[in-house]
Amino acid sequence: MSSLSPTLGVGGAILALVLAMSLAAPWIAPYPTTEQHMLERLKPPGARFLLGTDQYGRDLLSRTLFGARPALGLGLGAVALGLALGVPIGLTAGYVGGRLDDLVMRVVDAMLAFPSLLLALLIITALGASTGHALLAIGVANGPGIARIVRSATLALREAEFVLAARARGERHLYVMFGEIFPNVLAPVIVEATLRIGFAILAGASLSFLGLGVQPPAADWGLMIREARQYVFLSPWPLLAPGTALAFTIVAFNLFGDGLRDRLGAT
Amino acid sequence: MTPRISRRAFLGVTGLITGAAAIPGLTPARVLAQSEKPGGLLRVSVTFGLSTINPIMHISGAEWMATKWMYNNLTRLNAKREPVPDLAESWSAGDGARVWTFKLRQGVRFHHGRELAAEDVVATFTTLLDPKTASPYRGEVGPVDRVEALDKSTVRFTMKSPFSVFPAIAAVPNARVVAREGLADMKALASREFGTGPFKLKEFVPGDRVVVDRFADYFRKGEPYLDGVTLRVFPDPATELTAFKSKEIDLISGLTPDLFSQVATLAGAEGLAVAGGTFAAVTLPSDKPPFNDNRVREALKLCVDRKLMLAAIHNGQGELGVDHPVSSAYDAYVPLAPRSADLEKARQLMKDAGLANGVTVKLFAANSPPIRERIAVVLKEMARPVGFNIDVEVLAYDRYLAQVWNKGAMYVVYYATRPTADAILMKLYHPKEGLDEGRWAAAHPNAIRLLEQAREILDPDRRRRHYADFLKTSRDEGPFMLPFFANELNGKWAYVRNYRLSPSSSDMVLDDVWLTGDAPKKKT
Repeated sequence: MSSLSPTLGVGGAILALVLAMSLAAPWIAPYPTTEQHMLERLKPPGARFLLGTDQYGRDLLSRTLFGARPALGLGLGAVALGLALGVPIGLTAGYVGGRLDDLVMRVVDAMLAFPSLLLALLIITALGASTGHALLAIGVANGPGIARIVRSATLALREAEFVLAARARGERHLYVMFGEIFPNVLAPVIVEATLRIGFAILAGASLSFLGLGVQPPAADWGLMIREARQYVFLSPWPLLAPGTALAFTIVAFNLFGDGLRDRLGAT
Repeated sequence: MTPRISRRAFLGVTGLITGAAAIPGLTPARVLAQSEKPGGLLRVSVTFGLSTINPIMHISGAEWMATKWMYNNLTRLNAKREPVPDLAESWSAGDGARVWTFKLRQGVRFHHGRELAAEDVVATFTTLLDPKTASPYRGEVGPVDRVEALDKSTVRFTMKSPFSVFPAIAAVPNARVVAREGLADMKALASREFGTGPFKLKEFVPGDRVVVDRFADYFRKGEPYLDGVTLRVFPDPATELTAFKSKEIDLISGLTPDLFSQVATLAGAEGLAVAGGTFAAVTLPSDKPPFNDNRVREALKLCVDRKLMLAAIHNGQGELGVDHPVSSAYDAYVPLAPRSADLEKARQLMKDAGLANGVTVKLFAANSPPIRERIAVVLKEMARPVGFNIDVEVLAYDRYLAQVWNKGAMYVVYYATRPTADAILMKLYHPKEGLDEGRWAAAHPNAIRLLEQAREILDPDRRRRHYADFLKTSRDEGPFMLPFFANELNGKWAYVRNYRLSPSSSDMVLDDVWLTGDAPKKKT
């Protein structure tokens, strides 16, 4: 068995840390995330507030720890939604082929041509700003890309012997697609999904930054950066704490995804 | 026995005295003092709201500021917030303030060359008052029934009911006098101007900038001193401060208190602060649950530690409020006992109202100016212990205007200082002359009647007593949680001289502002 690659190891370690912190947040966060200490606004790191406080005197450490939850939730949720949309579409288009494939892929191409953040913005403008809508918007924006990957992998397997054998013994198409082909396209799908989680977290933070995602006073990294921007000249900590956490998490997902690709041999 | 002066005689005399001050020869002629230097461009910044320059329709402080430079009103307000002549050189009241007659200055020219006539004033007010125009501030100019030109330079306003504060109201931004040919095309007026003001329009890019040039034929001879002014929008206050620091901006209007403290520490810069009537308040829609029950409204008001809120949100730069919109900057101000936080009483009120288990409400806040969001976030925390679960939604200003404002929801409303108490009270509470933003008027007809009566009373002390009764009712039962009034905060470089910050900061008069030789040389 080959040894653990550094990218996979480092990415995995950071991810494990972020995940552990987000799960343990209720026990390790020193203060409730929305508790305001109004006479201690914009304090630098110190003994009482380890990462300092924001413009309402809220503890930045607590908010940064809890901020991992909406980030991870949104990233994982949006990609899961993207998979739920993209996998069946890609499998069907690749397996059935012909005119259906042409039609589905042209629609997917049209959606891919549309910048995904813009698509998410459109969906949120139509539905209203909230965490759920942000998740839906990013998930839908992820669907077409995943569909294309799955379809390519399916095309390569459509005429494989084990697929032809399954069809020859009279298996139903649904079984062939999900029982025979899908397990064999799982590797590229897992790699793609892992890489997309980082982008989904970034898109979610961008929407919150624009005021279109998580709503105040929730602890969310994008929202924290948006609020901190106005005070950057007075105190950089409200910007640095969530910014650093966000950067590390996204880099970790990308490293992990790259490492996974090397490991699984997917392209 | 005290000699009696009739109201008619009193108004006539005061009008004549005020008007006389504007007659050349009775006051020292305005000359450019040795130290005052003509020329130079002034660059002013704001953070939001610059979509139209149509004075009949505009609604934001930035737009009011821009039209103040390009247009004139019949009157303007002095530092004591009393009406003084602008296009009108004198005025007088008749029939117990039911009829107001304004005499216009001679020789005032519009930027396109024609001389101002009484018909222009008539056309402006007729358009403004026409319900089809749908001017958002139509109700603010009072109960005007008829406007007539008696001759080329005399205009008569006949009111539906006596209206004692009309000369001050004539200074409101939406009553800027527009040349009648400009009013023919209201759409074009959103991006063109037909004014008499000290500056004429050079360029207008909605949402971004207004550039104006000096008007050489301005009726205040010798003014303005500046060659031109640029008003720029910086949606992000931090970027605005950076531009100010690098002297791309000479004057910042509407500073946040945090940036104000930054400006005040810069060498060569000055922070200007003045108490005003600007506020952000939370509307409590009183026509539907839970706020149709005054116990719930009062419970929410009792949750708020106003002193702490003012300190946290506006660095203590302001005046505590008691849930009505009349600050000490207004003539009608009445000091009422301050309202302290009382969570025990608030909990009891909630229990009495059948909400012992709490209630969830949605609170909308536009993202600009930032004070709206801050009030919402701080209120959420302060009200939580009493059982209010406030679900805050912050939304873009344009979206707020289109979907939330005055639609009967719970939201953070923001108003700048108005010319009179009548203006802000009618705007907020009256169902016909204003917006009744708290949906409160229907259940409180007697309170609304007090407002209608107050504006008819000429005697200031009697009028104030009427307002006192109304303000007490508003404090105890009203549909607004108004925690404090925010001081107006501006920042400028010391080379900008003669700039006086008004309690209504959008009332930015630049006629006699000038720049010293230290001002950076610039072309735009």
